[in-house]
Amino acid sequence: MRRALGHGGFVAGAVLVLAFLAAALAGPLLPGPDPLAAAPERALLPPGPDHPLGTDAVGRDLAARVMAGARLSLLVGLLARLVSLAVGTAAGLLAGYQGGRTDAVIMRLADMTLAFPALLLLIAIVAAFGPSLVTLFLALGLLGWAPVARVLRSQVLALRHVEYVEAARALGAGRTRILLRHVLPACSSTLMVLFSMGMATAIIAEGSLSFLGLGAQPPQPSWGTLIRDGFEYLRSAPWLTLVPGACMALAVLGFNLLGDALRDLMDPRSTRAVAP
Amino acid sequence: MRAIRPAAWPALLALVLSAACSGQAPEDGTFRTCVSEEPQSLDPAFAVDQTSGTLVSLIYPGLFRFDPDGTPRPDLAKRWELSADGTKYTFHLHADRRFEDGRPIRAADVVRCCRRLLDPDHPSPRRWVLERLAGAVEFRDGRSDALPGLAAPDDSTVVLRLASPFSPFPGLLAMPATRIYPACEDGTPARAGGLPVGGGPWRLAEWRPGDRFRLDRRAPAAPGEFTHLELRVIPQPFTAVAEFEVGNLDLLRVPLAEVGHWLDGEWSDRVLRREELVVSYIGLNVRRPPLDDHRVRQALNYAVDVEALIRTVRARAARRAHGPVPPSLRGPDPDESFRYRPERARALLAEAGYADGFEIEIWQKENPEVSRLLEAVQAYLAEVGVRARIVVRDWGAFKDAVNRGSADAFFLDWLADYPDAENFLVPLFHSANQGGGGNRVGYADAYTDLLLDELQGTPPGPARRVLVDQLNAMIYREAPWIWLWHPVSLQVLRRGLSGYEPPVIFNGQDYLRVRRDAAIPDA
Amino acid sequence: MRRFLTHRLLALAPVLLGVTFLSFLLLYVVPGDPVQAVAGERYDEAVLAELRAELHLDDPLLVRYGRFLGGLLRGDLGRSYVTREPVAERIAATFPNTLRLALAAMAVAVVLGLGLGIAAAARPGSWLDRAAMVMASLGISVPVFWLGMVLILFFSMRLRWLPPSGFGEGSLRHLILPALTLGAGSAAMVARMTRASLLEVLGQDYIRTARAKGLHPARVLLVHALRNALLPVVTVIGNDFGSYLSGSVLTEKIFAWPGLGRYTLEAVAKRDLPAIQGAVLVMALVFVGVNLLVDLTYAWIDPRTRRGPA
Repeated sequence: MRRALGHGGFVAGAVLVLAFLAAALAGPLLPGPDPLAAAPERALLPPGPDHPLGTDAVGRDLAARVMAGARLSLLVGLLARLVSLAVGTAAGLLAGYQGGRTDAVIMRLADMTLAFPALLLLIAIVAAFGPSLVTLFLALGLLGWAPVARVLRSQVLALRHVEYVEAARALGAGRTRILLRHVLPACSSTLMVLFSMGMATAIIAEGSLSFLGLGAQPPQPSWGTLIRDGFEYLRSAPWLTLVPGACMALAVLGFNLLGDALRDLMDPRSTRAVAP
Repeated sequence: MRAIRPAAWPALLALVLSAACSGQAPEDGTFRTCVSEEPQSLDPAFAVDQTSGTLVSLIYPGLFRFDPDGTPRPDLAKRWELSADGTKYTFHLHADRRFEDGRPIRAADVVRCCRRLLDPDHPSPRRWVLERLAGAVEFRDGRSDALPGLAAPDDSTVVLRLASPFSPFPGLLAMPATRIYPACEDGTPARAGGLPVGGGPWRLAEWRPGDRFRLDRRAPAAPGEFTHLELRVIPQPFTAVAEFEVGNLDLLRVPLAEVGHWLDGEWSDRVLRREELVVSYIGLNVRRPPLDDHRVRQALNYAVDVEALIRTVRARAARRAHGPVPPSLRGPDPDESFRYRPERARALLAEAGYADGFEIEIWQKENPEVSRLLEAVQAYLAEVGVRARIVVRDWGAFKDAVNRGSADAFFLDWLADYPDAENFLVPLFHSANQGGGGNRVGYADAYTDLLLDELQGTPPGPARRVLVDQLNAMIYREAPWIWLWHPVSLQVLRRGLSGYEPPVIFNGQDYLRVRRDAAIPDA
Repeated sequence: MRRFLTHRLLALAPVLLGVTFLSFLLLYVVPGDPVQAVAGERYDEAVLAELRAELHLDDPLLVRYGRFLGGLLRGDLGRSYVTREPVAERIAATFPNTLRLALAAMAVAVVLGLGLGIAAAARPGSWLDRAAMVMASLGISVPVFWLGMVLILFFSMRLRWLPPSGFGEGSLRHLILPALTLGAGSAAMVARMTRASLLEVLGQDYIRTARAKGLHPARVLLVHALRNALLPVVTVIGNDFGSYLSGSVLTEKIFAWPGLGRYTLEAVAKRDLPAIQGAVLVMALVFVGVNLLVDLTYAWIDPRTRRGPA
């Protein structure tokens, strides 16, 4: 832990992520304007004492909306990523280690998922089941499993014949035990990178759906919908898109820094590599 | 060879790029504008969307053609007469008009194209346009091979007879569906090299799917007038703005979010305003309780401050709607108006037994401008206890739900097919047109139907005007919609050009009179 | 190697079948009806039924799928329900444009991503590393549509260097902004993956041996380490290239690029099944092809994996 606190990237990443998580969680508890309360008479006010970040085109407080957006974007990103990682890791480990028919079937399924145009699949799912929070993170999550599985599989393939795995097998360890005790930890750095990058991908995928109007449902804001809606006013009220845009960039930056730092800290080999 | 210093690279790059990108308007006589979608079909019988209708109207001739102000002007006919009983239209065609393949356009061509629109073997969604011809219904249903309402006594005369008088009929003959084209064996429009063989003011010279259309002028050009027309397909309004500012477009529709920028900036003197023959509304499905109670529907109208919405989300680019019929097609506004009176709304709701409000879903197709509007409406409705949920669906799912009547309420625009009050009344409120016919709120009232039927047969004149105003006022008070507005389109024309008038109907501009002014050099 | 190839080609059929059937099934579940697009805003209800009959839309799902497969075997993708044009024609017109955009985006990803990644891994912890990684983070933290519009705003509207949109006459200038927009995300991903796997490889024994032998650090990095660090990078590029073909939807929309993505998007909105099927099939084919290349590259870079899928 001391080592972690001395790691600049870790501290910066953790601060950013915690700040956004805190904003997302504390938002509804704070006294302040209702993020959903439209009032056309107050539309497009510049930042000022009543509205620190100004108001949007229907007069809602942007600060409150950005906080509410944090909640939705982070939640969708997190849940979607957990679904992807859980499914993808299981599939990747199994495929890489087991090989043969299992590998073939899993990889063909992954191919199918990847080969199907993701955005079209999302649009179709959202059109069929309606764009609820659950639809969003399940759809985004299930779409994300295949790349995870493939990356992990390639790792496992390389690891399968590494000495300590062979040794464990020779000692008669079971498949599950080998996978969980020996193979999975060796993939942890990859998983960290996949998680941190994947959070970003999921948050942004939600934004892409928002661009097509199929993300968060009005009047609930997500960063994606805020950025998209605000963009039209770039020349008259630039804060509408710049503020949520900066939030999204910073949050993703935070996750990336954290992921990198964790990778450095947890993987002994990479520590050696970093050492001069 | 000495390497270029790194610091010089950006400058070099800039030089190369800027040399290649002049951003100047070409001087080759091309007028450049854009559409937002690909056309669905350049076959007039299937040209149901705006882009298709626009293109079809440029490429093909017809008996009539809309002026920018919506007047149907004779096109192929040099002269026409209407019989005293209002049912028989006789057209005398120009002798010198030809299709692109050089064939003269004869009366038989008009008959052939009109017949095909009604042909039961090739169901056209636009067959309603000619269903008023005598014998059209029997012909359409396959019960008769004859179509007595359609005749070509000689090469240059066409006679159209209606089953009953219908004064807006010339407008129907200016619609995309009634264009005249040379045909293949199976009746579909002839093509050469993959492009339609037309006969209208412009010839489609090049079509790059998803990218652009290039049209060459067929009609003679006066000095300064454009000899080419380029229609870019640009789905994103922001992109169109960029293209205009860079100088790659000559005409721009200003997006709502940018109205201030254009009205106050350097282009303010170039902005053209036009109140279009369009009505925007929130349809209230009168088949679904509690919206079946007119007091509830009226309450919703009192609850929403439409004037404030026009000032804000519409950026003042709209005129408040008092009933479905645009002001230019009717008399004065109805007396009793739904001004913003939330207390009245609450009282009406209480009277109807909904003192605690209720929940409704308002559907919209994906569009950020509409989302902003509905979010504001949602807030107004919440003030009187009505909890509205906005349901955004993609175009296909939205259309399906609205046409089948499974949405409580929905936002839509209605665009005129032809400039007549009838077009804003009969399709939208006649009980026979429920669903895809236009009456998506399921409005069904025997007395209204009676008056609508009477309206269709009434010739232009004071009686018709009274009837229109009566219907408009009656429906207005019944409030099957939340009455919003008639949009005003704001379009910017590049400096140095003139002669462009924004059309009130989407296919009402033929670009023939747009010209480059010789006196003022292009800025 | 031949066995490997045969195996992969045989695996192609189930993937393509699965993908086309999935899109069939999805369109069946999703509400909406292509004849409503054909019919427009005002029609009599009877015409809908006639149009449905004419387009055989009332046949059972499997019959329709069977007809699609039958057509496919004859090399016929059918006609669009909405435009009534042969689907293959439109795909032939738009697909090359999307491919062009995807290849350009991949070039951006490889050049920018590898460059940044190697630079960062060469001196881990240095300011160069930090800067490269911040750039990489920003690259993926900006939504595609936002990046695209900002690029237009800056390079087209402000600087007037590049055209804002369109295909032009196929010039490179029209390609630059959309390619940057589409490729930025994977450039960032490639940069991070390159750095991560380079650092991992650099820690391994053989590299230390190479270093101990006194080889030049750059040579160690580029020749010995990079080759082995390329595996995950190749995967990323392979994955992303497939997604460019479908994921270019937003880029194509913003830049008014006449590609397959926009065509498919419109087809989805109108529930134009033959068009969707054709597009999905082409995208899947390309994806599978790219994957095959990726796997071959794998086998070439790291012979150990050759034994894998056998």
